[in-house]
Amino acid sequence: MKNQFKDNPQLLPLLCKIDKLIELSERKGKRFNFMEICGTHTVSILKHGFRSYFKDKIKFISGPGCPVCVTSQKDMDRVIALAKSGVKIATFGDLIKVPGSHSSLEEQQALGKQIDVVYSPLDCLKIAENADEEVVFIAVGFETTIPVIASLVLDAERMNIKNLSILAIIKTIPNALKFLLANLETEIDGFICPGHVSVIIGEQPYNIIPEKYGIPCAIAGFDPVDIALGIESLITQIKDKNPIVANRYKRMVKLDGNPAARNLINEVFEEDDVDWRGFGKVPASGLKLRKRFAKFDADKKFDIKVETTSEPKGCICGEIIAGKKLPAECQLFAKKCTPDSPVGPCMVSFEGSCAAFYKYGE
Amino acid sequence: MERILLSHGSGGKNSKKLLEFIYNGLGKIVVNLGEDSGIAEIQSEKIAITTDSYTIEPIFFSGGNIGKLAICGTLNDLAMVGAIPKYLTLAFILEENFAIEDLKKILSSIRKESESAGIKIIAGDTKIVSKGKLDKIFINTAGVGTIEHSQNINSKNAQVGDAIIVTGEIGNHGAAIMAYRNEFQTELCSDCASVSPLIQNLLNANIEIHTLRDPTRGGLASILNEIASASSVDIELDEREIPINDSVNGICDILGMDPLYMACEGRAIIVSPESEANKILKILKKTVAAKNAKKIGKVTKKSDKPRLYLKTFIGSKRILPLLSRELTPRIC
Repeated sequence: MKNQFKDNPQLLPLLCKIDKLIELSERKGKRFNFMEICGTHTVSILKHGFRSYFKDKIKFISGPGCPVCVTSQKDMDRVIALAKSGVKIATFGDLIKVPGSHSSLEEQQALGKQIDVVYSPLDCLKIAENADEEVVFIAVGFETTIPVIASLVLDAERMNIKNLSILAIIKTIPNALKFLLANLETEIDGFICPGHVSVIIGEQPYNIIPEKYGIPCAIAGFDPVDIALGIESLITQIKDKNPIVANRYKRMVKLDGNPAARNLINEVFEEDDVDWRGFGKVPASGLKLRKRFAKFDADKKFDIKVETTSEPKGCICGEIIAGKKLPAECQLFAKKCTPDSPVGPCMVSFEGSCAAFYKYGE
Repeated sequence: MERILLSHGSGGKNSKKLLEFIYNGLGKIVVNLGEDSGIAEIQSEKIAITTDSYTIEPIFFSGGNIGKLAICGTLNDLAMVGAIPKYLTLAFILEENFAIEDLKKILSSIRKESESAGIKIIAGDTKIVSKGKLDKIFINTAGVGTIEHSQNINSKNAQVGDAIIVTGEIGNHGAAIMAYRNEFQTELCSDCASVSPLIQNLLNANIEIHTLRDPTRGGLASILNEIASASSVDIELDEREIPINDSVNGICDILGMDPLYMACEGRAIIVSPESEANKILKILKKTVAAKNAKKIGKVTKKSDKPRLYLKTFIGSKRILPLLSRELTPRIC
């Protein structure tokens, strides 16, 4: 059936054009290394078959763009400790299976702890209203999810809900990117910048990539033609030796992003230095609740005690998130670590590189 | 009588009242009830028997309700071995406080679907459980049908060169339910329907059929994986040919889900020799319910490691695997 975005008549001519551009570029068989920052891009690139289509020409490297995957082991342990303490946990489904050092939310649920899966943070309002006990929303996500989390906090304040708080494990992209660039070990020829996050933050935060590091950037959407447009832009920039931030997702992403959503975020949250799996502590790369909202801050409301934290043995999720390795280079991949019994977070989340590579048979 | 009370299950006066209410709601499709067993009159060498239990949230959805779902689900299971449906059994488990008005609507749907399929309800049961013990209403059915063809229709029988045909757009039911749960405004309806008449039309036209399956839980990709596995063959689908409604694509894109894994409740997958494909499509398309029927792929080869492949929009090939856990919406 015709699907205006997925089955776009531009698609095949565009692919031919890219093939020609690659032929003309003087790479002499050397592959382009393109990093897609966003987990949804990792999934789309695999799902639409781009990886196999450009097998000998482009190596796609997944970046740190899966919110579950970049959640540090210590933060996961804090989530599980909270569940153990008897509060009711509200969480996105993806977090349930992520193993902490000693347990997982799934295991705590089986042991009788109260864990509710929500589709939207705003579902927590109803849960809290119907609960006698304390409810804690595990707030993971990037700029795409944060405005809704901010709305949750504002609504809870307005409705005077007293038994609801959030555990903020929120990450923001711009400073994490700076950190990634300053610590790159692999040569990256181009960045495919996230579509959803850019809807909020706009084009400007990526300028540092071409300006300081000389690496081309293309903001892209998720349908086949969107991704092809992104790839075409990167290769054209390389050929012309003119790295810029090209916006190839203009139907969604505006130059200045969505200032209203950013204002909402700023009203509720302030910058914080936070832990990333694979990176460690990154300055100003996350958010915490402002003082005004302290009563909704699970960190302040509860004394969260974590036993010793240990990373799973043999798991290289950290290196995969940092773009240093691919899932197949992990000795656990598809052997000890599968979506049914995941060792690391990248095998759990729908957006995780390992889960995506496993699912699409790479 | 406005709501179900525990005493409706006590065996006393209230039980009798509820039973009469149900009989009234179902009308003439009920036969031979009142004894401990119903007696079926069947003249056939082979009969097909199926059973299933139905639970769904929400119980009323755009395009149907749990009653319609239960009857169509049972009819479809019978149709998938090419059986002609004859009798049903019907058991309700109801939660205390369930609204009688809702039960009435459900009975009316059951009656309508049963009447149009020409089946009779031959045995039934009602149980009431206290509030909180189950979610509103569960329905259990068994279906009995006769087999009047002599073909070997089963999942192990897909053969190299066979065409894969679907009888309509896929994923509408799953997407409609997800849309409701997420409070999306959409005109999308569940595809909940009986495919029995479509299959009867094909069998009456002496079409050779190797495999029939309805892609319910797990959707098209999961069921085709099962067929590939059971028949030890590789199957290849063409993404361009798979009929998917724009709304289904939209809802799935927003939630990060894949239509190929979304449940259908009124579709069939037909695996038949390529030489029959055009005839099948011509017969199917005569019926409004199957106007979007499509040939979507083929059985490519025998295989020790059976796989389902998808030729994507960009023309490259990838594996469509079995999902290893429940679909969860994306968070980024």
